[in-house]
Amino acid sequence: MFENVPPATLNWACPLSNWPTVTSGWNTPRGVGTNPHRGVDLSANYVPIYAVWNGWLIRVENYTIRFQIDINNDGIKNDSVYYCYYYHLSARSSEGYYTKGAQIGTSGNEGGAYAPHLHFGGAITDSYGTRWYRNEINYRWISYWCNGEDLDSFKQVNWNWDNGLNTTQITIYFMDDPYTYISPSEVEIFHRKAGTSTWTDGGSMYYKGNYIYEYYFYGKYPAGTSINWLVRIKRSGLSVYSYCWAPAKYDQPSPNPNSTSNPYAYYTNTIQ
Amino acid sequence: MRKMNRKVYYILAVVLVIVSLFVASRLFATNGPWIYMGREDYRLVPSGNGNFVVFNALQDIDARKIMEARSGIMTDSGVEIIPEGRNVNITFEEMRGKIIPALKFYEITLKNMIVELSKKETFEIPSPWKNRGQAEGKLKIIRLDLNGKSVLSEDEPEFLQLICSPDVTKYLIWDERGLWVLGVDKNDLVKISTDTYNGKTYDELSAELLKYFRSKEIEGPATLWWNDNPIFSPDNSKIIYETNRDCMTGGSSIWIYDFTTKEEHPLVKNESGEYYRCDGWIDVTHIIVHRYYQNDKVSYFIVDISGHIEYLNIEGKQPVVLSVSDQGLIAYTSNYSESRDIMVIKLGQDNSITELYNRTIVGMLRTYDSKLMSPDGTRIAYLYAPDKDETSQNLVVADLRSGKETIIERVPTKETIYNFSWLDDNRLLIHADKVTNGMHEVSSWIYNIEGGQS
Repeated sequence: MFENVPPATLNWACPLSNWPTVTSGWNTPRGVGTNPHRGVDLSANYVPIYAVWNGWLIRVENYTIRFQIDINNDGIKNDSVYYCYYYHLSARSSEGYYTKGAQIGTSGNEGGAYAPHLHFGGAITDSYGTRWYRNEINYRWISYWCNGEDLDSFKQVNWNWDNGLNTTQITIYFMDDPYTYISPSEVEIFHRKAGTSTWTDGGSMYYKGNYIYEYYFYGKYPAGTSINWLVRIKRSGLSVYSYCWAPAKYDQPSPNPNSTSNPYAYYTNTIQ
Repeated sequence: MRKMNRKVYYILAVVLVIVSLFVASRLFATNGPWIYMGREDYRLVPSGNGNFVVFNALQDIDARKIMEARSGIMTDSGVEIIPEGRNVNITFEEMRGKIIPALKFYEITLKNMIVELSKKETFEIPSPWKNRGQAEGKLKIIRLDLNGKSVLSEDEPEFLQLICSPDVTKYLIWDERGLWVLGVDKNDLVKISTDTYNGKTYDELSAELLKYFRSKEIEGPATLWWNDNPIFSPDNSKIIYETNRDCMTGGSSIWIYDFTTKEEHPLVKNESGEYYRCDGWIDVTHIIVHRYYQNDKVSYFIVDISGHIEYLNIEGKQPVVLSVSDQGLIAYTSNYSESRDIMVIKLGQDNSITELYNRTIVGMLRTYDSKLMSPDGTRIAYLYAPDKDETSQNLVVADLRSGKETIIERVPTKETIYNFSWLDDNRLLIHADKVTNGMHEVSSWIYNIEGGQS
């Protein structure tokens, strides 16, 4: 259901003016709605919303816009398959081609029992059960939203082998309502030798502070071994669906990567 | 052989001169009302009173360089290549001038020249926007010397959060938790919003709102806006804004703050969970607001500063106000979801309506953040995507007194018009767009409606 890396449409414009508060990031386990959260929630009253990139506005349902991204800005509709969704709108502009920064509607609280906000995010298909992309990558070019990191449950990932410890680092926090950073209650790493099928529970990652978690692969595998790894993240206070994964893959994921036939997404690195 | 070379050089030199003259003539000499400012995205800094300050905003290629410096490289197939030891903590300050063009400010003179401005001073103020792990956010402010007058900007003006008063004496900064004012000749931020409402703090009221929403199974954030969308009055004496601190069962209301008395009070009270939004001041004592109920049509009202409310009858299936000016002008479209017409009306002292402009468009309107009416209210400019080519945008400049219109399809270099801003009553700052390797490359132009380059 989730896709880790979006296409190379990089510096998206803000879908609202003034870089508003992120109230729920992408892939965040939460007590309401889809779990983990598909897309991003932004604090917004009844305010204009804007095209994040050149593309075509396509209206769906009564309160939703599906915006087909013109990835290479060439004005040709069918050479890219990438969308940005905008939900809960009180007004929508006419269908057609819009340039980045043009107003394409007004936010609101439509489509059910919602408080006013904008739900938006990138997706790969044009149906509701689409795969949603993480959009942190599209906002690394700005300093607001913590260089895009606020948009995501897990943020940028680093791999450092030249410290001799073969270290992975991952930054993780959730956004709470109102605008508060919440640490996960558990960050557990799983790993395996590439080409094998069973994941080994590596235990909790070491917390370095400032929402950064670290794990040393030193001594776990011989040098030259290609390994796969993934991280299970738990949010406290939720009785169901309290987990998400980095990298993200499935809606309402199982907490045990060995218990499902669904292949999980993972990172691959080589022990030096 | 040598003779032959000399001949070739001579021909090449002549060709070069002809090409140079041709290019120069296209850009500078014979473009009538057009002045080419260069392949820069020059954006306006609020400076008012006939002074126009611009800065060289980031182009797409600059944003890509920032992204790559901060993290990995995105390939066209969407794969992120993460380099070893990447530095994600590079600041804008470190990058400007190193990997992307240095931030510079310019004055656009009345003679259409651009003159670089010196930075008089740089200082920091506490910022309402905190980054992860920070105890206190900081906002770096640059004070510019504009012919002896101070103008403020941020060191990241692409994301300008300052709202400038019409007389350029004070600036506002706001977020959900409050409203702060920064004097143009002062270096400290003064909070003008209250810390409590009915004895309750922001956090207490937020918790109350969240509790109500969850009890009603309302999904989504319980955002409390202490002040939202503040707008200065034309005489600089007041601001209006929306709040929902007095709407604990949903909806919002409109309040007014008086800089003379330093007091605020509600102007449009919430009755039954409706949402209000202010569109702007139509003169020094009246504003136009719109009201929205969930699943309902928008209604518009004129409100005076004593709180008297009158319904404003704007005709149409789904009328939406596009722009308001303090000469009592309102530009609107009759059916927003189609956006195939545009009207301008003028409100009289007795709230009577006179229609000044009414056009059906062979295409669809495109709106950006810019104001549509000229500062003196005699003209309107707007963009539309013509039916024959939806990927381009035509710019219409219309005289509201004579009805005379000019439709501009492209800038002289044949690039597409991207957006515009009014510089003064006769000049527009126009951005044109060329796509290079899939990325926007913006150039800036001045268009003089009176035709001359003065």
